[in-house]
Amino acid sequence: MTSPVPPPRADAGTVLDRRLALGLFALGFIALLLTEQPVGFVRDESVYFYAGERHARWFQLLVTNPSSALTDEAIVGAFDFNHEHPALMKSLYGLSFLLLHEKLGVLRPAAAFRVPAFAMAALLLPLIFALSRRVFGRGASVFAAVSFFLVPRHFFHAHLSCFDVPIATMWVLVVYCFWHALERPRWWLWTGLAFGGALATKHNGFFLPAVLIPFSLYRGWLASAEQPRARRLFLGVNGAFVFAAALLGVIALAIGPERFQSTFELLSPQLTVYLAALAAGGLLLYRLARTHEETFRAVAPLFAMAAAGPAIFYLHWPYLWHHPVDRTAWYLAFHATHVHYAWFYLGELLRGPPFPLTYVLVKTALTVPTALLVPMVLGLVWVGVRVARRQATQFDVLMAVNGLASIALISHPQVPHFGGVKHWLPSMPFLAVLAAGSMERGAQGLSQWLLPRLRWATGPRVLAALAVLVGASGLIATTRVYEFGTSAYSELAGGLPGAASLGMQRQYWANNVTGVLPWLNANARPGDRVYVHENHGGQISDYQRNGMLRRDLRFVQSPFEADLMVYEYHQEFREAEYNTWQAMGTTQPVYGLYLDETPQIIVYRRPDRS
Amino acid sequence: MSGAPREGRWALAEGAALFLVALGALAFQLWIPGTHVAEADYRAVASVLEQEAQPGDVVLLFPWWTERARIDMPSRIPVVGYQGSDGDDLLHHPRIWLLSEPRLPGSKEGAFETAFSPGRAPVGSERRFGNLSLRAYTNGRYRPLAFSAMAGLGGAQVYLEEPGGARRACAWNGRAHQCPNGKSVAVEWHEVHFRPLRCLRLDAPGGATRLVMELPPVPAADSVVVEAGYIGERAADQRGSVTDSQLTLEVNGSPTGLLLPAGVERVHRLDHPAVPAGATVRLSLQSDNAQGREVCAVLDGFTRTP
Repeated sequence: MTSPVPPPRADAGTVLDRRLALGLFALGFIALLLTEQPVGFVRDESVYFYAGERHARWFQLLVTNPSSALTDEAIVGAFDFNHEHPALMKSLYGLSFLLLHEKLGVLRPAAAFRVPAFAMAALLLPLIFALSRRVFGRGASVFAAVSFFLVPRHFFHAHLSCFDVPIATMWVLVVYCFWHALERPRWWLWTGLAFGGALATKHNGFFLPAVLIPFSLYRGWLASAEQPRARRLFLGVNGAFVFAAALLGVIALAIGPERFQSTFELLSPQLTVYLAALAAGGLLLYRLARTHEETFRAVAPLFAMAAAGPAIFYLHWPYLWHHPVDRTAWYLAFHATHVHYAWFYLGELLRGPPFPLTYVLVKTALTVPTALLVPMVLGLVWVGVRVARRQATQFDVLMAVNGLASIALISHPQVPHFGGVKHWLPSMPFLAVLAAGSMERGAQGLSQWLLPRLRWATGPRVLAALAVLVGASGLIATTRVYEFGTSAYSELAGGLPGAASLGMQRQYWANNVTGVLPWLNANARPGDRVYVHENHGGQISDYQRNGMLRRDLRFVQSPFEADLMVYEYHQEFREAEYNTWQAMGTTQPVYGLYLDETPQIIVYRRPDRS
Repeated sequence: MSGAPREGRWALAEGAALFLVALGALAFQLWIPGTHVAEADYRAVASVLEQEAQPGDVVLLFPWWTERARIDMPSRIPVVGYQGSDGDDLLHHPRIWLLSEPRLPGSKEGAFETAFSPGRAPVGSERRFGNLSLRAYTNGRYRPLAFSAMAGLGGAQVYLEEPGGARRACAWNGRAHQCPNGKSVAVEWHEVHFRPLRCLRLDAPGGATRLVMELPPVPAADSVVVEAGYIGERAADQRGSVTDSQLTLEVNGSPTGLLLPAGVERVHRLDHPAVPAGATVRLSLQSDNAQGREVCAVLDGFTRTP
């Protein structure tokens, strides 16, 4: 990296840029709000609706009766359900529901829950724009931001009251703050707060330090090269945390992990070591700030993350207040030992590790619209070439590393591979930034070639035309299938039919059932017993609560009890469909959701009830 | 060569690549709705089949997953489509109606031809109904049925057999044989490695005890085919001390084994040579620790010619 920190473009950060960023946020938010209704409730979302509502009721109790609300019994009553995820987003979903549905009555329940998700997703657009604007032009940066929503699966996930898009936003926000912190005062504090927000959003946040520490150390080392005192303080700050981590490691080894956890209390050596590191690091950082500003800015974000991250994680989640260590340990252990779900990939059912190393790359290539994938890849190649030529800036490398970090993490053969693309969504905004570079270079190249032949073919015009063309296929695909987003496949896959022939996972998360609900409502007889395969009671209740499913229908748990069976096509659940043939005495469906001819949801009716 | 022209050429190549890929992707998105099948076309195919299909005919789908056709096809004609059905011998069916959607992207027609064509000959010409194609084929792999364990289930003896030879009978209730261990043997639809099989559902009793199905004396057959595998997702089960299962075909006391290894998801097949008329045919299943895994088995005797 010969040019460690490129200065921002001279035309970046103008009033126009700020207005564009605001406009992108508004565009994203409104687009999500207007397209929300057809998006079904995924299995987890109904769980989060319920959890969010319980959180919100607890906040109501906190206001009306704080002493009662602050007991562990009350907290457990509100937060024990679904404590495998932190509380930030669920609390926002619940509070939004209370305000926008219960209090104001302006939105249906599901939309009210989802509003914070829309806001988080919409925030991604200005963040992508702002990151891209540091090095690329306005047009390419707008394209980068909008292109995130032109991926059908992204746009689908952006609607959900889940954590996958919010953590992508928080990840980008942390990186954005981190980068600014290298140049501007006070942004190191924002970095720490953003990191705390990321930890409070989803466990992906715990991996952020791994991608930021190397940049911070490299930058600090370079900055302090001619400053011996700053170098000593820089090493001291880092040394304090390295020493503390080593000491905690030694304690854990000496007394064993279980005792380490059980003795981790307020007045324990474990907490003392951490606080001592913060105190020592803070003192040295204070001196560093007075000694050499540039070195301070390189290392201060890490200090803020180390200090604010755990504090925010603890404070935001009442469930941790009375038993912070045990409940945090359970939370971390839950994700470290997550179960594996069956997953169909290239004609084989993957049931457990080791998973194919190339899975994430292949899945990304087959799901991101090809016209958007190509500039992402070219952007990565461009950074690779610049690294090889020693021309890459830290910014280039930061974008590429963050673009690959989540992909690399999930690619590990032992990491659970279910869930399609949502688990590596935090990579995608950075790939969008790199795509902006490819678009800008490509448009410039085309313009230079065209200008002698066509006078109108100036750089901005060619870029605009190219952006429209590159985004068009994604826009069409998103418009056509976004509400069934887990079924979407790219042109490279041959669309949904090509993916079906390739033997790829047809869908997941059980939301495509919305495709047959109107038929059910119109054709089921009063009181019919219905088995909705793969949908749990919470989803059924939510469909009824939101007026999408008749309330007179009775829901049963197997096709043998049912008059109507709604089968969700999964390769690993074929037995469920053949059980239906057995139970109903017919192999002939009566209706279904078929996307580009691919069976998604298949409805059977007991012949003696037809 | 100076850097600037090289950068310019790279940028032009990058722009051209973006342009061409985007154009192709746009063309694809505009084209794909044109591959959809109209309801009327399915109904037209159903009408043809209603008029022309003969007993024993089958509809085979290509690509295998185009199961929307099931909605409209006449209920008297079986419709076959599962991952792997391209190569299904369709032994019970003298004639195949191949219902295909050749315009669908990525359908790998060449691979289909390789799996499907051997032994098959087209009858008449291909008929098009919008994006649907229908063509009849004679099935050279067809074998007339001499006997079927499933058809003969009611007349069969089913029992649990201890290693010493002691037997405990399973009682026929008109639908299934109810065994003393609470399990039953019945003919049901099940999935074995994605394939729908109408088969005998068998539960290995555990330990050395065998579940035995003994057919009444069978007519002569030129061959006997047993196809079997574990049902559904539990086929993948390898937890704890789960063991392999041994399926055994005995013809007049002479056994031939078909091992069903634990954790292996597939349809296993045993081909047995001719059996004489009146032969005693027994099918038995044993597994030391079946752990709830059920087996779906098909046992058919075939003659060489109709």
